[in-house]
Amino acid sequence: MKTTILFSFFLAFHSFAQTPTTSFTPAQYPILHYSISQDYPYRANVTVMPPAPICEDIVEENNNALTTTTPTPRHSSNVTITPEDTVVTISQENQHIAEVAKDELETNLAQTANDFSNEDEFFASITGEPPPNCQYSLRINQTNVNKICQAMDDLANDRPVRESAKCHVSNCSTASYLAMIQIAKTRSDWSSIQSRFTCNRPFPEAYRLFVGPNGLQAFMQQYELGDARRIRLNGSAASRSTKLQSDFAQGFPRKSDPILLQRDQTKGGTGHSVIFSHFETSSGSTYNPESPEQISKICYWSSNQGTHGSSNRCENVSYMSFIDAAHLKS
Amino acid sequence: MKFLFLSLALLVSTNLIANECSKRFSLSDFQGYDSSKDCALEWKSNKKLYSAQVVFLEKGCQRFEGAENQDCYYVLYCPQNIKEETFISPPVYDDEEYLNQYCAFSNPQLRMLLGADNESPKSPLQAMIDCKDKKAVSISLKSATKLSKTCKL
Repeated sequence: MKTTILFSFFLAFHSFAQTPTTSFTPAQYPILHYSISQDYPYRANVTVMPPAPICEDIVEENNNALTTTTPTPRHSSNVTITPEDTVVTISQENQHIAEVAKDELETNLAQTANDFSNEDEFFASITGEPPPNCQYSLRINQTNVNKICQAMDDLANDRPVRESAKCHVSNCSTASYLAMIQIAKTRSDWSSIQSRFTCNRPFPEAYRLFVGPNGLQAFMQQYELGDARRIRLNGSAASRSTKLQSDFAQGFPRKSDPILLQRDQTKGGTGHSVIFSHFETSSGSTYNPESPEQISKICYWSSNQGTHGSSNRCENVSYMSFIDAAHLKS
Repeated sequence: MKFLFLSLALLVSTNLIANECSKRFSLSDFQGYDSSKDCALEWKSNKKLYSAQVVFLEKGCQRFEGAENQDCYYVLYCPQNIKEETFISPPVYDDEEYLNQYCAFSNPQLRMLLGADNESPKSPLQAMIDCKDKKAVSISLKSATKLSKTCKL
């Protein structure tokens, strides 16, 4: 049995850099919790689709629609993934790097207060250069479904994530949801909703709601968590920018809001669950309402296939049909 | 003769609706678009023509990357006036389990595909998943002029 490492992006955090550009420094990276599993079956023959996330990442880039703000390669060429693979194998060298990074991350997490009073400080404190092989997964097998659910459960119940649950793959929905747990835990009404986050196989009730129909809106409204808005985008770049500027001035979205990006049919009508960071202008700077320029991109943190895992990046708003935004943080 | 005329009128009317949404949304570019399953509503307001359409896409939607393409619906709102905005609903997957989740929502706003209170801007057309015995059975379209149509799922 070959030693394998399964990476995950759980304990998903967002690096909300308040920098004037869209470049994120390594210290601002969202490294998510991952761990190492020994003797995991090389190829699982059971593949279970989790409750369907609205989660499709765009990987092709033909018109500068996406700007990945990941400056360093994180995906080892030693990693081989076939469409049938549900696990990832890595080299001994990368395993060592991953182990070191894992130790570092766990140490940082243990020492970091999680009150979200200062997102930038918090995210910066737990992040660093991401380990190699943190993988976005298209399919999640039953073993990993169990691990993800356990990790969600531990996180929601203030327990150290159990060793056996630290190793799993992720997609944008699982990563965003784990970030949302962290944010939700800072709410004054957390105790009244905490039980909804308990792992009930295959996934916690809150997660099933989040990835179901009208997911983010349903999550917010069913649990009476606060305001959510569907920002519809239409027409020219100028009209889209005007609309985004208007909603932004009204507080939608705010930094650290979970958001859903719904793309139009030119991009297959796919969605992407992410955490909002900022808007980028047509000149490439961070949008500033006090000296407004046209908004051309939305920048976010998520687990993205195009970046092989968690990263901050920016995506063109020209093909978005709407953006759901929610004020989860109280 | 009268029947023939009425049939012709109905055909022309239906095509007008379909053409309007086809034009504004480039429906021919929608993967798996099956026009035979269109369900449309048309109305006039202030001498302007409006139409709404439920379209079915065979294997036209992918819930997440790596998943198989699924059958799905979209609701489209198509004003004839090019200066007025179109609206499109989120994809609605033609999967019984998925559809029935709409019926579990205690807040009926969450069953709305278009025209929910928290839309910005809000669609003038209301489109909603209808439930019976906690099962999704249809999508109802309701115009600003209170015309309505039920489209079976």
